[in-house]
Amino acid sequence: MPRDTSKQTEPALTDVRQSLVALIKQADRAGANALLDAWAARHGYEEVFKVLLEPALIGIGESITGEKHTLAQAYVAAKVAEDMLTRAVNQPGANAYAEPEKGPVVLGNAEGDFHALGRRMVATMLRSKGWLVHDLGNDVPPEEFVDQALATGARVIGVSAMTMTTAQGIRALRQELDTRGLTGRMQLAVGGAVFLVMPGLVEEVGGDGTASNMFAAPGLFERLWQASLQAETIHA
Amino acid sequence: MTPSPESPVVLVTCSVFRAEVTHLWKTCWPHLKVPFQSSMLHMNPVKLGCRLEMVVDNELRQGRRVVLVYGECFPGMGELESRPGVARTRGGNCAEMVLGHKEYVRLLRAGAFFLLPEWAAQGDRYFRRDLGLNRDNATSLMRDSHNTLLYLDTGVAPIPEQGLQAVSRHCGLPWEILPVSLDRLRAVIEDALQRLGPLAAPD
Repeated sequence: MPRDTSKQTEPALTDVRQSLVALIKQADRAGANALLDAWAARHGYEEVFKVLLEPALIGIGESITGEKHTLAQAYVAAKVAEDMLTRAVNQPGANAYAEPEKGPVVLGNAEGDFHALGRRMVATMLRSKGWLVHDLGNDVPPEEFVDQALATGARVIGVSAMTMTTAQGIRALRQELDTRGLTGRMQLAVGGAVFLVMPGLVEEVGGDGTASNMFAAPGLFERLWQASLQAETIHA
Repeated sequence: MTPSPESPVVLVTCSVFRAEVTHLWKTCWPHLKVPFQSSMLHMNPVKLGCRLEMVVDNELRQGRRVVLVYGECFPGMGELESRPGVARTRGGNCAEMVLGHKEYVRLLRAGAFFLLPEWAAQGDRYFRRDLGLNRDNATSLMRDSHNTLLYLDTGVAPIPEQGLQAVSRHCGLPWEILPVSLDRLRAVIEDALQRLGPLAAPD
């Protein structure tokens, strides 16, 4: 009986995970993609997300705070997730995992804010966890956020703001939601560097929650989605 | 010692404006002290905040009022500039202070990534060493949001062509030069000085 050599040569899962984390921490996008492609060739892209990428991203999110090249590491982590999503969608007979199964949600930068990087990385993290994301881009007026959320059926609006001035502008979005009677039913996620260092700012601008980094964003959106459903039940 | 409305004023300035503010200082405010702080502190906003708080505390203790020639460069800037005897130049960042809000937003929407002399002169070192972005990652990151490196030529420093070429190679973006006057920068500093109140007569 011929021996199955593929089983023999396959490295242990923990070793592959460690290699993946190390590659992302070295900001080696090509290396991380090669490792994941090799795994996908044996197990499929659904397994890549569930078994390798998600645990690695959670681990990286918990460990890179305060490290020297956090930006490069976070950027490469998001791009690797984006690369895998693209490959998964483009696979012949792409499976349901590649299709959004949660949401929709709306994302954008606060009016006057042009710092796209964080927002884009959050969008990728959400998409990698199965969320349908409508990304409205930079410098989005409050009315447009709400109009688009209503048009798409979103229960969560995510707003990114880098500075105190643009963060304070989120108050107008809070007011827009309240004025249109959407309080509770449409939840407001806020994020950006300023929220991490200014205690109380989330509440001050009327946000319903924030995440400490992009890796924690899917969990926040899950909580807020549930809060929206509960609010609707209460008011029904 | 608490600064009074007649106390002397210092312009605590980001070194990204070293050439520009030195040039303006000679003709506009030669009697004011202008301590420069390293622009590389922006790599770590917490460090930048601590440094500026220390500098401002020190100046106020010595009875001097402070104009911060800075954008909204760290999250605690609002708190710092709201102290009695302190004012900050209006504008979110250095490019906006030089260009004015309308032109800054117009160019940003058109895809510009702004460079001033000090940072352009460093070439790709900032991306490589300080951000840890190799050429592939820097190119990908920059092309996600920008299509041009726009060097703001204020006319008071030589154009660092080699540095610009190095940034361009590393980030995969073409570079252009935009001549700009110092009128707006001068105006935002004058505005901050006015908000502080009358200046003491030169010695």
